Amino acid sequence: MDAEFWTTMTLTFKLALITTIILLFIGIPLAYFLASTRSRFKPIIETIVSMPLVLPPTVLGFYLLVAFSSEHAFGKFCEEVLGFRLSFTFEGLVLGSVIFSLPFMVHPIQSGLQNLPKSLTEAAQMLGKSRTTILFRVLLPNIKPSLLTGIVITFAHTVGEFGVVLMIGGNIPGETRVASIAIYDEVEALNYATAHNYALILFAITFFILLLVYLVNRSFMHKV
Amino acid sequence: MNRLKGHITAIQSSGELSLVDIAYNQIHLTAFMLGKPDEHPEVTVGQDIWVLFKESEVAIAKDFSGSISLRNRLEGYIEKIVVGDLLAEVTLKVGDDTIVSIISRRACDAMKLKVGDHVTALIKANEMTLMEYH
Amino acid sequence: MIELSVKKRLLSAEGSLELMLETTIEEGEFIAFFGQSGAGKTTILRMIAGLETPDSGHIIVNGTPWFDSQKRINLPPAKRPIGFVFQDYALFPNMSVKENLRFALQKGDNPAIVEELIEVIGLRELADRLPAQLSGGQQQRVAMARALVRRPRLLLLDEPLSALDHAMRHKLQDELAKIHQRFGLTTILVSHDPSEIFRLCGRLYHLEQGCIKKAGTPSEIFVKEKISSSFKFVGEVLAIEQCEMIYLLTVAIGTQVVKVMATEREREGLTIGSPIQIVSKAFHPIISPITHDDREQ
Repeated sequence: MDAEFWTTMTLTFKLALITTIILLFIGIPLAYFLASTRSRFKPIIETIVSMPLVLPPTVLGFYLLVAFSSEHAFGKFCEEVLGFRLSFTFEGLVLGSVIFSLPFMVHPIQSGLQNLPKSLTEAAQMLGKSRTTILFRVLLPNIKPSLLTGIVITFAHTVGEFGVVLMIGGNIPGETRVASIAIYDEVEALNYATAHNYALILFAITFFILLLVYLVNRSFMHKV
Repeated sequence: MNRLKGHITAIQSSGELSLVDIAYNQIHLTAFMLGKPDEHPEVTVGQDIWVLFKESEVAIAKDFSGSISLRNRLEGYIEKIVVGDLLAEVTLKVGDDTIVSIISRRACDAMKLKVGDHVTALIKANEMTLMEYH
Repeated sequence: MIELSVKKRLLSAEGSLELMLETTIEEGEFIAFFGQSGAGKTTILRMIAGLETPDSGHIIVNGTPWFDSQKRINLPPAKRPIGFVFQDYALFPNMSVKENLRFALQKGDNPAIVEELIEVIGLRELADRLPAQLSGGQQQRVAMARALVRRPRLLLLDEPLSALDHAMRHKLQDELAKIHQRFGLTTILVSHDPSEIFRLCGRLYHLEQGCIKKAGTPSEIFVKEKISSSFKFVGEVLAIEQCEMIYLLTVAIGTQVVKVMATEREREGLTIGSPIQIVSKAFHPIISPITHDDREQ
């Protein structure tokens, strides 16, 4: 296996890792908000969060591409004010991944929070605790399986996404070329052996990650 | 619990003990009560009152003669007898009311009680409990 | 002193219900809200705690308004110094007994109270266990102790013993009574169990359809008939046995279990768990002194 193969694999997992970390910071507060709010806007926010689940990746990718382009206000703002380009760059790929993997982080955490008895939050309130303290000391420690599910599914989904990445990242080796696209490429070029290498590694890693989730969650269940 | 409606005709007190006279139809009943009358506002002369007594505290006499200390005597007819191995439940018709007595089966047999017999129910004054009428 | 004057429209399965309540509760009282489920008992407790907001009215505790719809005051639950014991106990599953209690400490509180309360509830040996490893009765004690860590002046109990079996319920009722005596807390209990209220509360409100139907002492509310007699007990039927034409009732009165004879008519309508009143003439009991040996038993 050549250097390019490893560059692609590293890039793939780097992208997934960064996306997952960013989503953890966005997903927890967002899920907490959605699980506890009585706001009229809740359905709208929930819809926006869930859109990437049903929208064809190419549609999402197309709009992101348009938004990222330097002719568009958002892309222009990033380029001129923040100083980085989004279209066909790694940064753009991270941003795109954060958006399309958002529901995979938010949904498990939100449902974990909603399934906890309401009285836990209320009891902590009656003990004079703030919302933040309640989240970190009472709620999150009791939804570890949901957190783990969110993290792993987000990671695995980011590793596997194809459509959006192709639209906004293109296929630049070492910059935006991730494994799923590389497989497509190699097959196009009839390099079945290389495609096999990518596919097998993705297959194996995905399998073991999911296996780990189920094993760990089972031990959580037994402990409680 | 047997329950008869009467009205209070007199209260005689001595310290913490009171003896309450109750008129029930033409019959004169008496009940002992602890405490001074003013502790029991529901028990005052002229008031209607429920007189309660437990079935197991009702004795039965047939062809009764001589004198006896029991102050409460209710004459009536036996309406029903239910016998068990040890106990007998005798239902009496006293005027329009029904009272029940639970006595031993042996006594019931020895006295040859049967439906229609004319008997007297006897209850000690300290077994009579008074309850507010409403 | 708590001044309560609240209104709230409740939506339930049977339609909507107007909850209306106006009363004052004195310092140190142990009172109960009694009634069928859906009568609004728990909602009242939750409004006092700030977990639910009345549509209008005011809740004033020792002169401090916790809620006032006209002045737009609504203290959040965390700002109301209340001990609240939930029906499901709401123990934090990720924390041990001790950690559950410690979590209730506020900044600057003396942590010695945690040790003291663990001692009071008799769970020293289990202090490092997680709630899931405790029995129902033990969990209830932890919930009770946790509610007392903040040294609240007001204790709210939402059907706190309803999930427990009969014997444990009795035991914990005694403990509740002791805690009330020891800390002198104003305590409000929500319950649908008359014998529990009899044992614990000095006063109760009988709620029906969101309104106070009756208020008074437990004997005023539950004992309809006025009988002039000296021996009067309220108990709970534990067993009913038939012997020929009479019945023997096994009745729990306080911590004692006694047998009482009942006739067919007296037994009618009684089932296991029925609260009953037992009255006897003062002339009946046979009295004998208790020697030291007897007391030991």
